[in-house]
Amino acid sequence: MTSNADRLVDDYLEQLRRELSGLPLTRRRELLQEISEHIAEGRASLPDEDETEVRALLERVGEPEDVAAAARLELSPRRVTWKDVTALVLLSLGGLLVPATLLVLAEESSGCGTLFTPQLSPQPNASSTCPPSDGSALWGTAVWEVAFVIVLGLLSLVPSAFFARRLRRRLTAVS
Amino acid sequence: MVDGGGRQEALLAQMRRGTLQYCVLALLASEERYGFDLVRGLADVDGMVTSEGTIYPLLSRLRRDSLVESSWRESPAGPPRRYYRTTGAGRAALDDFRREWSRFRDAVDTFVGEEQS
Repeated sequence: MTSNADRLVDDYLEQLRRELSGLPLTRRRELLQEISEHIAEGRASLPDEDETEVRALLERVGEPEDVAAAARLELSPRRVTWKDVTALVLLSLGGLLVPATLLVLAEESSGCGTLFTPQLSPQPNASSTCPPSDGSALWGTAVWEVAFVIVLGLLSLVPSAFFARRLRRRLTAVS
Repeated sequence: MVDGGGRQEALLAQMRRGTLQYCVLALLASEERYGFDLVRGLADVDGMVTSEGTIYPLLSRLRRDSLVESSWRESPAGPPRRYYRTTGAGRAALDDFRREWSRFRDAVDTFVGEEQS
């Protein structure tokens, strides 16, 4: 019955497509097309298309993960360049600079000092609304400021980590 | 014994990887063939290929490296087929390999060779 055979082939190609994720789009499409045509030719040359025959055919083609592994082997490895290192460093630094800049701006707009920046331009009205510079109140705002910097700093690590992972995968792809 | 089997397989895989492309170049030097035909031709010889699907990435890379070129032909029944054949550069690479391979094969056989009873 052809519907079973069709389903087997579709499942196989779907699995292969999943295994090929991460490969450049054109390579992926090209390989899926070629394998699909190969299977079609194989089926055409089968005496009668029962499920066992199609299974045997797909076994000859090989496990999707093996085919995908072979595809990865043929990728040309990319060397780490100064561009990559610079990008990584800038990404990480940028993540810290953003919250620091925001803090300074906050200080400027409120006229109050922050944990990191002294009161640069004390204004007569602002001094009454600023938190007093004794221990307790300052500690309160300090926690928020530190948390603010930490959270945004950590968030900046996400794109850095993502980028580093992709770089590592390219480096370990052997020719 | 299981571990030994795994190492054996890895060794075989490595040897195949190095030499398979030259087998492809040799097949396509004598006559141009289309994908399915070539893949089956390779797979039919025992010991060369474990899974047919893995040949297509190799073919694609040989094309990118200009060792092999392809052209589309109409087929009697079905979609047009891609025919492959070895380029001049491919033949040169094949000749280099032939020299190296016979030297290497003879050297290994000197030590490993057939066990004389």
